[in-house]
Parts: sequence; structure tokens; C-alpha cells
Amino acid sequence: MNGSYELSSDLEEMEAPVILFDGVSKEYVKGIRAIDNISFKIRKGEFVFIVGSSGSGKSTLIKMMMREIKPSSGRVYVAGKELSRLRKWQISKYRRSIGVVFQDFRLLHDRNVFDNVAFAQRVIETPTKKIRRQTPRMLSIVGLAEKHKSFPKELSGGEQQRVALARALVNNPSILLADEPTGNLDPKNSWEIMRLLEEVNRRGTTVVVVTHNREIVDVMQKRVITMKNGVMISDNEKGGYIHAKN
Amino acid sequence: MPRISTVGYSLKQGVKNIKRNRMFSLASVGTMTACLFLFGIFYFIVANFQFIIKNAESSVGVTVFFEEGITDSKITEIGRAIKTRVEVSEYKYVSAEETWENYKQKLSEEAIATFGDDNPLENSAHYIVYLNDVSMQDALVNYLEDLDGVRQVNDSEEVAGIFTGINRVVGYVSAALIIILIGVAMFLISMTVTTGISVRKQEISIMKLIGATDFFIRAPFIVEGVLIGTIGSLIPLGFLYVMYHRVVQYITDEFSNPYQTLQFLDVSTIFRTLFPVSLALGIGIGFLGSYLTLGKQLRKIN
Ligand SMILES: Nc1ncnc2c1ncn2[C@@H]1O[C@H](COP(=O)(O)OP(=O)(O)OP(=O)(O)O)[C@@H](O)[C@H]1O
Ligand SMILES: [Mg+2]
Repeated sequence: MNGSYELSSDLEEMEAPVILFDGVSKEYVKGIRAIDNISFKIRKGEFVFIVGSSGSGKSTLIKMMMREIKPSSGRVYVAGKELSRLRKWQISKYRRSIGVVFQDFRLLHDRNVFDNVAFAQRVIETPTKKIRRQTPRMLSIVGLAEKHKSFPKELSGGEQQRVALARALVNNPSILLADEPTGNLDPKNSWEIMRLLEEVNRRGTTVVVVTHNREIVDVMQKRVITMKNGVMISDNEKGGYIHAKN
Repeated sequence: MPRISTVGYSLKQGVKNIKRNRMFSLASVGTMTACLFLFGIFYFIVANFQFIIKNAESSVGVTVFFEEGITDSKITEIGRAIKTRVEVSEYKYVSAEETWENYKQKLSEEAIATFGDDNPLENSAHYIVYLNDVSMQDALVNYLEDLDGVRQVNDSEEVAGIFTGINRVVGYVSAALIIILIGVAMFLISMTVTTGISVRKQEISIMKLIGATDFFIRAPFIVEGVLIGTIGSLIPLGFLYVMYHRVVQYITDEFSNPYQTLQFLDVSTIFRTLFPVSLALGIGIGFLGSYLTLGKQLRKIN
């Protein structure tokens, strides 16, 4: 009796979601729901696509996971903590455990590639010695070891996104959130970024990717959450891009 | 406790802010300099007047000069008359020779040489009368002026009174100016920090996303404000230091006379107070100016 109880609790522990949305709604403007009563779980080590037409609320979901915004109602939990309840200093601590990548890269243009990646570590007060060790390693993982002295404006879009990815990953986040990471990239570069994300996921990081790229979603056969007008219209364990008819 | 590398980083970014933001930084330093320069001058004047007045009360009394060709016995008689007064604590006879010797110490060799063996102050023998109560000075002066054989009585209160009046005006005007300038300096530092933040808006929002603490985000701007304050107080202190020497020298040379030596506080005494107070003011204004602005401006950035 006792043994089986412990076993099931262990199982539950393993199955415990890293990200949990529980009846979440968001009203930017009173009375207009950008997100309407959304509930879903993402488990540790999952790779999840979030798709849907423009304005359907995908970025809003990501922003709530980052604790950039709070839900108007419902709860968002990450690693068992309710994000709305985090205090200011806890928010910065929380963000250190997640990595984020955006469509527009958000690199610092007055710093070269190395310094952009070093900056992320500087911010969380990594010792300089460790920064010198970790940065080149991270840059070679994303294939930019040679370009560490280049400035963002000297790089292609794909290269810039790889720098952003290196920056997001250098602090070993347990969750990686990407909002249209390939939105500004050509197919070849898009695939390179996706392969990198897949690799990161294989090493144990939970990955959530918002994308409009139907081909990638269809080929990769990952879990797909589809949004439409703030409502989740489907959640497929292994699937392709669903076209939401208006 | 922040790490050493973080402190280093904040300092470097603070300096970078100042360089990037040259116009505002210069304006802030300039205003701060003007402000603390005025403060320094104000302090010089007040401190020295207080010193002089204190000296006057305790040491400089009333000087009594005699009519030309007065006899020694007459002088002794005047001395006796002085002694009868209750407000007199002490009196002293100074001969013409002594007066000249004293004055010589303040003159250059060449200046003394032009007089040869003559005493240019041969009519300057006098009594110095010290009072135990300065408020009785007027009465004493009236009494002494009526004595036979007395040519002239110099009192110090008149001078002290004028000084006190000037002192008060100088005090009010400087205080008003300084308060206005502190306001302007705070405003300029606040503007400097505001521009600095708007220039670094993207960087700050990325920092927030990555998980930078509030301290980490604020530190470079605090450094910026404090540096501006420090530079803005060291520059006027340097000026004031050099100036003080010169001005004291000039006033001593121009306005000293054999009977009344102007005594000024020496530079080290003045700066023992002025230096820490000015520095603290500068750093305080810099710190407050940036600290107060930060809270308001950073809240606007996501
Ligand atoms: N800051 C805001 N203030 C007001 N309304 C907002 C704000 N941000 C988003 N919205 C609205 O919320 C809805 C969802 O926006 P969201 O950015 O989540 O869409 P999205 O799915 O990411 O779209 P896209 O694919 O174009 O990026 C939209 O109708 C949008 O206009
Ligand atoms: Mg979006």
C-alpha cells in the first residue's frame, strides 16, 4: 500500500507541469478579451508550438509566461509558482530561469556579438572568469565562434537570431520561450534556428515557440496549440498546422 | 552584497553614460560647480567675519592716540584715567618705535629700506585698551575722547557693526542663490539621467527580461549622478583653494595698517570644514538627483 502510494506520488512529480494556465483571461481594454478563459499544461521537456492568426493572442500568452503582464483573471503557474504573486525581486529571480527570443532579435547594437552574450551573464552577476569561459562555448554551439567580434548590423538576420539564442541559452534556462523567432528569416535560416531549438529541447529544456511558419510546424510533428481570437481551438499532441476558418 | 565584477561594470557603465550624454553632463557639472563655488565664497566670508569679530571682541580694543608733542607725564596721567574705568580689563602702552617695528614685519625689505633709519610713524605712540564688556565701548570712547591730550580714539565696534551687516546681506543673498542653484543642479542631473535612460531604454528592457535586479539596473545611473556631483564639487574646491590664498594675501597687503591687523583663517582651517561639506553636498545632490529620477523613469519601461 505504502509503496504504491509513493510510486504514484513520484509519477505525479514527474508528470507535474512546468507551465500551467488555469482559466486565464486577459483584458488589455476593459470588456475586450485578448485571451479568453484559456487552460493548458506544458510538461517538463516538452516542445510546443503555439500557432494562430494575427491578433489571436499568442504573444499575450508568451508575455504572461514571462511575467511581463499579469492575467486579468485566472492563474499562471510556472514550476509550481503562481506568477502573479511574485514580488519584484522574485520576478528577476524567476526570469533568470527562463530564456526568451523575439522576432526582432533585440540585440544591443552598440556591442559586438561576444559582449551581447556576455551581457546576459553580466546582468545576473556571473563572475567575469566564468563569462570568459561560457561565452565562446555558447557561440560555437550556435555556430558563431568566428563572428564574436562582429556587431549586430554586420550580421545577417539568421546570424542575429543565433546571437539572441546564444544570449537566451547561456544562463542554462530550464524553459525557453520564443515569440516568432523565425518571423524575419528566410526558410534556410528558419530551419537552422529550429534545429537549434530542437537540439536545446533534446538536452532537456522545455521549449515554447510561437510561429506562423506552417511548413516547419507540419514537418516537425510536435505538440501544437492553436489560438483563434483569444480562444484555444485545438491542442494536438503531435500534429500539423491547423487552419482556423473564420 | 554586489560582486566586484558588478561594481566594476556599474562604474564603467556610469562613465559611459556621462560620455554618451556629454551636453547634459557638462551642464550639470557646470551648475554644480557654480553652486558650490558660491557656497565656498559664502563660507569664506562668514567664517572669516565670525573669526574677525571674535578676535575683535577678545583682543582688539580701543586705540587711544595722543596729541602731537605730548609729554610723558601727560601720557601717564591718561593711563591712570583709563585705569579708573570699570569696563577696562587691561591696557597697554605701545611706543612709536614698537608700532613701527610691528608694522615692518608686514613690509618687504625694499619697502623698509626706503625709510632708512627714519620712523615714518613717529606720532603713533598709543594705548591699547581691552574691554571686559564690548557693549560698554561707546561710553568708554566718549569718556576717552574728552580727556586732555587725546587726539583720536579708534574703536572697533563701528567696523564690526558694518561687517556684521554686510555679513548678513551676503549670507541671505548667497543662501538664496545656492538654493536656486541646487534646484537647477538637481533638475539638470535629473534631465541627464532621464536622457540616459531614454537612450538606454532598449538595453534596460532587455536587462529586465533577462532578470536584472533593480539594483543592477539603477547602479550605473547612480554612479553617473554621484560622479557628476563629485567632479562638480572638486572643481570649485580647487578654484577656491587657489583663490583663497591670493585674496587673503591681497586684502592683507592692501588694507592692513599698523594699528589694526586683519587676521584671516588659514587655508587648512577653512578647508577642514569646507572640503567635506562641499563634497558631501555635491555627492548628495548627485545621488538624490539621479535616485529620485530613476524610480519615476524606470517604471515606464517594461
Ligand atoms: N498592449 C496592448 N494594449 C491593448 N491591446 C493589446 C495590447 N497588446 C495586444 N493587444 C491586443 O490583444 C490581442 C492579442 O494580441 P497578441 O499580440 O497577443 O496577438 P498575436 O497572436 O501575437 O498576433 P501576431 O501574430 O500579429 O503577433 C490583439 O487584438 C491586440 O490588438
Ligand atoms: Mg505576436
